[in-house]
Amino acid sequence: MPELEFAYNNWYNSIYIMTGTNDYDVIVVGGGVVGTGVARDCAMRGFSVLLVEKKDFAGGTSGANMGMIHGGLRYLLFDVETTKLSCIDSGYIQNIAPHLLFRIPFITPVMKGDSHNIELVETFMEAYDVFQHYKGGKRHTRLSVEEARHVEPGLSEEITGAVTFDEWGINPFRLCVCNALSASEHGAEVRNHTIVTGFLRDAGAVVGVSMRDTFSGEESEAQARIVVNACGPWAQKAAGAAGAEVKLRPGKGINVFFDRRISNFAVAAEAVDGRQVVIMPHENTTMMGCTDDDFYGDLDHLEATHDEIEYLLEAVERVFPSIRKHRMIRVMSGVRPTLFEWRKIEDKLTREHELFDHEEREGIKGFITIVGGKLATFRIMAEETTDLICKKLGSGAECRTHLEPLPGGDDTVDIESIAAEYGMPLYVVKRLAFRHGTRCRNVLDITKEDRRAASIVCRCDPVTEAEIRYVIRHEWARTLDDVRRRTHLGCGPCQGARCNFRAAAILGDELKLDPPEIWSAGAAYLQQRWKGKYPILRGDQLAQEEINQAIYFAVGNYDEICDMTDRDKFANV
Amino acid sequence: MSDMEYSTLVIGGGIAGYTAALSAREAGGEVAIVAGRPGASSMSSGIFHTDADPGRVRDIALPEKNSFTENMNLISIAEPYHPYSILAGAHSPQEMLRAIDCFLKYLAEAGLETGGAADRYMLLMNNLGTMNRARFALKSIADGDVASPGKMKLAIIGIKGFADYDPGFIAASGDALARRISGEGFAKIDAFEVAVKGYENSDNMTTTQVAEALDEHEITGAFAETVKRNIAGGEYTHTAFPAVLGLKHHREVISGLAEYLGIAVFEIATLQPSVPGIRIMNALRSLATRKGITVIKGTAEAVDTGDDVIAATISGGSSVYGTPQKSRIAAGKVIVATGRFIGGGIEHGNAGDDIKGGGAGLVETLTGIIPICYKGHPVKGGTMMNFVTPTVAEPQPVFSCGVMVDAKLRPLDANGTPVHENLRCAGSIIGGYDPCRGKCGTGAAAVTGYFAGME
Ligand SMILES: Cc1cc2nc3c(=O)[nH]c(=O)nc-3n(C[C@H](O)[C@H](O)[C@H](O)COP(=O)(O)OP(=O)(O)OC[C@H]3O[C@@H](n4cnc5c(N)ncnc54)[C@H](O)[C@@H]3O)c2cc1C
Ligand SMILES: Cc1cc2nc3c(=O)[nH]c(=O)nc-3n(C[C@H](O)[C@H](O)[C@H](O)COP(=O)(O)OP(=O)(O)OC[C@H]3O[C@@H](n4cnc5c(N)ncnc54)[C@H](O)[C@@H]3O)c2cc1C
Repeated sequence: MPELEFAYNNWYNSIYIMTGTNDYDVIVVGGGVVGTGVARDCAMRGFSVLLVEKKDFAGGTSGANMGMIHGGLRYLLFDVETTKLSCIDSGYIQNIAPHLLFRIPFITPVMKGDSHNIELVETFMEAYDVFQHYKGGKRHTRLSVEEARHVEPGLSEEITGAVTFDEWGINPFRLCVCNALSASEHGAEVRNHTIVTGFLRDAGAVVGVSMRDTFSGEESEAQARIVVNACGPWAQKAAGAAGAEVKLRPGKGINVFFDRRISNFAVAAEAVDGRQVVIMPHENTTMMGCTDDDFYGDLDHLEATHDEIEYLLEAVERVFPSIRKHRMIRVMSGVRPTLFEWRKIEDKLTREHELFDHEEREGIKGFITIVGGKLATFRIMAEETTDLICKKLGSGAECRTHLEPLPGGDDTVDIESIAAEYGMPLYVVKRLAFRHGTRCRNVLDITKEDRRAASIVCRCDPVTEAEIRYVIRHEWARTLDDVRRRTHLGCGPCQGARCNFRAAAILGDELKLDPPEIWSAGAAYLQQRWKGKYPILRGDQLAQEEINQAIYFAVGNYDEICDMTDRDKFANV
Repeated sequence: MSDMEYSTLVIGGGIAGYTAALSAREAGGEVAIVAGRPGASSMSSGIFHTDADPGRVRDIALPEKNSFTENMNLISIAEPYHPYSILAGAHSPQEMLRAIDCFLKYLAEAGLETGGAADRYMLLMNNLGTMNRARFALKSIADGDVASPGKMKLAIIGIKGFADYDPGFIAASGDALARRISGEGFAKIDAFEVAVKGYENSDNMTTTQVAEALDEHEITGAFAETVKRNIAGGEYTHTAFPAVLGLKHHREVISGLAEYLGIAVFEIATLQPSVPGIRIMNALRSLATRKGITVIKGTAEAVDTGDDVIAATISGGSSVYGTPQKSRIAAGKVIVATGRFIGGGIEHGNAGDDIKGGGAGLVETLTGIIPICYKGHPVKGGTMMNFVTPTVAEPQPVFSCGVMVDAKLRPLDANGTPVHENLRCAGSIIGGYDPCRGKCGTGAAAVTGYFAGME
């Protein structure tokens, strides 16, 4: 069984202690985009910080979203200020992490009988144009049927016109890891695979946390002047453990991946219930998403359903008829940390965030919750949280997270000269620079220690042995799933057919694991990939999966190996 | 459209298809085989899984005593829908073993020696660093049986620039597994990495690249010398190489190396693409041609099951102009050996209607009239979600789906009656077993192929 944090009793048995010396100014619980963002901001403003994440950075919702840094298009009708702020913040994120960003040109086809006709859609986009310059976006264009089908040949013959607009996408995994790296480089202590199991209390105040390393099982405690609950959808449970109330209405969403880029544009489509969904080129795949449904299940065990997948296919099929002929390779599920509201349908719930000062609300000193919002608003959420911490701790330090680049984002990268210098193929360096920015040199330096490190382990992306070693050495990767978040290992069409066992051996070499532990790591990753594969296992992907099954179960004998190993050790949650 | 006539027409050129064509030829008559693109067989590792003891499937330890024939009896009780169990209605375990022997004999005739025995399992290493139980394998792989590691002083040789094969990891992992399984480690096991001349600066060599390089006499010569220098003084009894020792000239490469090094040489199953798999398919194809079987490079588009004639429409074939040509081939018997999802014998359409309509969207592609079954019953409805489980270590029902046959290997319709008197199925298009987890992929293809051709 995976370890459960705040395992219901644990949490409630918060430990009461006497105030002692503080180990840290701030402890941040939760290593999603918000928690890592808060840790970075606090560390940059000179606080001593501990960041604790039970699984891995971007192991929660921040690793299960569409990765869009939107400019708040949906607020345009009723809250223009939010649109403006979103666009400005999107601009900031581009400045600090230019390597992680990519432009996503959108096309909104209009169909006969759609609720909005083309004039209405265009008027809407004209209004959005006003804000595009804040985020370096392009103005909309209105296309005739012929023009639209020329630039996006996959569109249905039944469209009556289309409008394009412009958004940005980001690699959310790297964004979280870069935040954590930056926090660490500003002096923060950073721990993943560490569960906060309870809060230390002193006369009603929260004065620290108790934790458990999920690998070693080792328990420890740390005290701090402020504890920040940045647990995303888990925030309600976490707050409850401190006797505070944070009410959420968690919304589950799935995204489906296809084996390649199947459209030129992100294509917006209307679902049967009138919601907007989209297929969108994402890295070397296509993403189709997303659903939004009230979620009452276990946050640590998300499973995509047949209905969710069909709902998306049905919506996209209407404007992009060939969608079912393409190869689905994976589905990803996440839960939005949406704020509670009664009566509204899921899609209409606010995406705003809220900062809970539990001292003010419930008299619980030293405890703050920051929750809600979007990936795109993480920086501003972190800024507001840190402003409050500054106020409480009497610091006048100013926020600089929008000015100082994230690790690797400090300069452009000359792909060609680096490729020549290290004797690497251009496409390898290009992908590497997308993930690591200027630090791709540090990654490639590993090839100088041992040329074997220049070899490609995952050919779908590609991911080199050097990159795997680098993220284990410098970015806290302890499982193959951690490596996957940082590198895209095993995320392509073959879904880990040939890279799994090799990456496991490399992990073993770096972490000095013995062979049974290496098999466990491989078996755990096999299961991890399977989790996102089995719900979409249909169409042409069945042939690919038959190959994977043959490699791991006919030749590799992994069904027997699985039984011999402690898979959960490398699986955590 | 031109018309041709054969006594037997085989559709699908995998292990099942070629075994069927060869046994049909042996039984007498004119035989043709339509062989399209490569399927699962050309990816297989060179290890021939025939059967796993159903009581011990999940236990890597070697059973004390357990022969193929004994196992057939166990399987017929434990897995009633396995083609072995269905064939047991008409054939004794000894006859089934003879079918496998015939498949091995065909390979030998084609110049590919095999090793192993029916009454015991060998323990064979692979490039995943794990081990495998099997009764038979290509000889170059079977020579690496490590069931008694305490007697082996083993040098594991890797190839510089061919990084999918990590000799250090294979050695460490192999030794640890040997200790678990046999209670003892290798007397000695070391790892080396050797460059192939002309490829010293490659970072990403593939199996076939290495194999094609080693087909060059001069390159192998230099390679052998470097290996010898590396292992000198180590007093090894065996050297192990990735299964890339030559594609065309593998016999010369392997025997040459053994002779030069003066110790036993064997290959470790290595993915992908699989050089042994390609060797097997090349061998079967050339043997078929040599035996007077008409090998048609093309795709069967349809099978026409008239009352007594049975015929297939083939596109491709031997057009002089290189343009696809259609021909109709009539035959006394048609054997469908089109494989599963890899081969393309079974497909899932992913059309919303199919899913809603029934059969979970799974269809047999060639005739379109043979229902896909799970555990002997036609799949009537449901979605693909009903054929998978959330745990990868568990068997996945979808990989046991396929057509249902009777003891004569005639495919059955939804009522359990043969679709056509003269239609047969062979290989992994037949359901009721999981070729990979059931550890019987090659065996089931060979046995069903043999009987389908012979009947
Ligand atoms: C399908 C989908 C699509 C989306 N698309 C977009 C989009 O395109 N653009 C956009 O801006 N937003 C998008 N979002 C929203 C966005 O992903 C979230 O708002 C954001 O990631 C939330 O970040 P977070 O840090 O608050 O939560 P999380 O990322 O969930 O972080 C919380 C972390 O806390 C950890 N944790 C929990 N309990 C403990 C404990 N006891 N001890 C230690 N750690 C603990 C968890 O492991 C987790 O990593 C999408 C969301 C979904 C579900
Ligand atoms: C990577 C891998 C490793 C494996 N390793 C092992 C192993 O170590 N040991 C083991 O025992 N088994 C192994 N197997 C399993 C084993 O290879 C298969 O179960 C077996 O080869 C199936 O043979 P087949 O002839 O039924 O199918 P296939 O080999 O798939 O042959 C079917 C052929 O039919 C052709 N075809 C389909 N439709 C048509 C048409 N309409 N017209 C013409 N031709 C058509 C296809 O192109 C294909 O060539 C492995 C499989 C894979 C994929």
